[in-house]
Amino acid sequence: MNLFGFALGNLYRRPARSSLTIAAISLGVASIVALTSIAWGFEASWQRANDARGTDLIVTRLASENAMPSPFLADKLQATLKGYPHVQEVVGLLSEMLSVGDNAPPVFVFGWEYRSYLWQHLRLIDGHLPANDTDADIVLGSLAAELLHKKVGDSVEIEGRQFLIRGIFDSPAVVENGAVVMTLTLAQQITDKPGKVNILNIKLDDHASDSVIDDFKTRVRETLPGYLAITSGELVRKNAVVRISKAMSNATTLIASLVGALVVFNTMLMSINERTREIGLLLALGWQRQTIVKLIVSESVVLSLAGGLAGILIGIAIAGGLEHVELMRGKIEAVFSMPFLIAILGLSVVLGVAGGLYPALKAARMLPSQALRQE
Amino acid sequence: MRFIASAVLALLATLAGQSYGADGSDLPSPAALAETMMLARYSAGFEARMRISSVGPDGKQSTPFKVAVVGQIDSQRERLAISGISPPSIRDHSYAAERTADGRIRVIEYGARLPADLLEIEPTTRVFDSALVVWDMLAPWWHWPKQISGGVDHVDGRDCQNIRSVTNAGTPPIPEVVSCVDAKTRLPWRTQLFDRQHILLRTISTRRTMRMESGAVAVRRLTIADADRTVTDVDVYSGDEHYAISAATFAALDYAHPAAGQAAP
Amino acid sequence: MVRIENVALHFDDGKTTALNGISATVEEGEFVAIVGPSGCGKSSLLNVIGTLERPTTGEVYFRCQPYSNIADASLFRRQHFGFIFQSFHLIPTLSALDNVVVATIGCPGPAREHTQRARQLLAQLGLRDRIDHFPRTMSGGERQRVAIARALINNPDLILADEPTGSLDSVSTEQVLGVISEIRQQRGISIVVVTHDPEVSGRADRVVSMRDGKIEPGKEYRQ
Repeated sequence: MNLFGFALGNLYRRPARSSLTIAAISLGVASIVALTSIAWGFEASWQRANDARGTDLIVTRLASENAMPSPFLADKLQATLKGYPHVQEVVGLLSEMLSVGDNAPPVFVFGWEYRSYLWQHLRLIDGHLPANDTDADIVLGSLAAELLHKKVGDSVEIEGRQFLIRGIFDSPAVVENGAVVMTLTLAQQITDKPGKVNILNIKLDDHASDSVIDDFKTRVRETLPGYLAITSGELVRKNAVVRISKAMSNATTLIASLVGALVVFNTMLMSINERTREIGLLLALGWQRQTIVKLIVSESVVLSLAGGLAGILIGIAIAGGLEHVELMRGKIEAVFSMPFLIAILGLSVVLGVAGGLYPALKAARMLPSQALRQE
Repeated sequence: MRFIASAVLALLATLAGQSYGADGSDLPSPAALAETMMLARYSAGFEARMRISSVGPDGKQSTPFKVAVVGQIDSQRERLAISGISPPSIRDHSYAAERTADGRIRVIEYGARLPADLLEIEPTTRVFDSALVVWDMLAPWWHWPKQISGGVDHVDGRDCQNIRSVTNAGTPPIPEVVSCVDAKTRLPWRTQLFDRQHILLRTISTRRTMRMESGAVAVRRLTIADADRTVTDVDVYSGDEHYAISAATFAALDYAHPAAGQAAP
Repeated sequence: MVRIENVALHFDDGKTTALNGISATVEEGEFVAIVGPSGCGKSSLLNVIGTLERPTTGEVYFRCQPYSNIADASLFRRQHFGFIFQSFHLIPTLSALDNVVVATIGCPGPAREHTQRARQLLAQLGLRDRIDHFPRTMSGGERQRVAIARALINNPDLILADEPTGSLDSVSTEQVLGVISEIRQQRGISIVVVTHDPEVSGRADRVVSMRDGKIEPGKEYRQ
């Protein structure tokens, strides 16, 4: 038996309390893991959607901090931007969250300019892309098709109009997999926004360097008041949902950490109060005070580490489960990274040390003769 | 996208309202506040798409429907067009409304074929059998000369200032309206409409708000409770703060009243 | 070995006096019994000798080293003293073996060696078959022998025993006293024991009698 074995034994001999403490910590850690992975996943998914489209820059309204920027008339702006150096294509995109059919949860409906480069990254699983700009044809992301129980040849009702499903596609971005895509003209018709887009996607030629991108942004800022040119990554980071979900995950981390540390603190304080005589004995046997501190902190770290490990597993399960809930499918995607999970374990250790330190110091300060007299 | 749904709100005058720039300690007079509420609705063109669902007095839920509301409101004219989006039974079924020079609210109901399917109806007609009433959407009470302060109140835990708007001019369908207006956002948290016997006809309550791109706060969701116990939920899911009004938008009003249409600037 | 010079010990800000100007010595290899009525300060004197209690005034020397110069009392205790208590103070959730090994945690050297030594000690004390037993399944005599093994595990120079037979029946008392005598003969360890039991004090080289925090003059005798 060594110090660690003794610490484990001390936890083992109070199974109910140890399990409850581990459960409390694991729930906190699980909520951190689930929320953070979803927040990151959300960002990564939007980022991938933009990257996959091959978009180098996005031009949008200045005050756009909503999920999607507000619509604006594209014509003149599009012509102006086409004249910028290294610009290959300027493509309008209109996006709305709309219900498709009765009693179905709302999905993203994207309108992309017909025959633009945006369509190229879709991998068709079945059927075809829309054959022309104005026929009431749409394509569905694979997840959307599954959610809506639709296949090629079926029709769906969007904003009071019937559309024929011409194709089903797979996209690298979960946002698109859960979406309906139609031509921009159709999207403008059904939402009664003729000539309007939310964003303009800019594709630059292969010679465009970072400085070209910077010049482009500066030029838009200086010559097109009310508009903003940003990279897709910047747009995603400005996205209100991404920001809110990140803020929520940060707040959860803070609260769960505080609660976790308090739970450990309470458990260890109770534990040393019950073991006063035992600690007195150990001191009388010649245990040094730092050994007592090591013992109590080891116990609290074991508790928080066990809670952390269990919490990571539960958090992964919760996030995975949420991805498959009808309402959430195709809208969220959890992203886990090894450094993040290791950081969570690190956080668990910090919680253990933070929660166990005061009780440990209190135990180490006991006077052995008094502690031994305690009943 | 739903977030942009601007004007709805301007639309249900109950709703729209730009920040007055004053805090609660510096409340304007009822008349000034009424004028602010009126001015706040001004728009060269807006569109709001809303999902409307009602539960009848018998507790039965009627089929939800979607409408698009387009409006143009300034010192010269106040016009609204309400078009059914879905289900198919209300598609191509529309209402157009305007405030006439004498302060009356005129409502036209029309179908796809103009000018054939056209009918002038009562301004207090309900929109597709919900508790949403066209007359309320134009909020004519802010034009009434008599605006009386009703003191401070609380609605759903939010502070607001009661304003009683009363008129005797002509024979308006509703002669008395009490609004509880938020002193900061100038949004009405609650609007109560009374008949001549001071019997409550319906209450419009703001449930959720949103900030629009322009910075103004608008109503995102509201509930209308009718005296007959029909309760209607209105949820704005999309919109456009800068809708381009076309010649066709208010054509129904012009067909029904060619002279008025030509006279409009 | 131990020299106590004019030691006083007060509690409660001086309101209670446990020791009142004690001077005494313990020689190398000597077995000293401290006797006296309850509350006379016997246990306090033992605690002062064992560095569990710091005297209010006076000084104690261990092999000429004054206690006031000891930097780490815990380490000092571990190096020189072994404690035996009336109520054994065994940890109920540890086996007999682990109750002995626990005293070596933090000591230099591999844990395996400590465990091996603990096994040998328990075997020497007649507990070979009880090594894996828990305190609640052992008799009082067996428990006290485990406590003695724990006191011996770090090779102390002085055993400090506080009523070691106070909770034992006569048979167990005889066993425990036999063990103590044996250790003394084998290892030449000094022993200071606080006791009411004439059986115990009867085996001591010297008996010191205390009353009201003082050593009773003229009542100290050698046997």
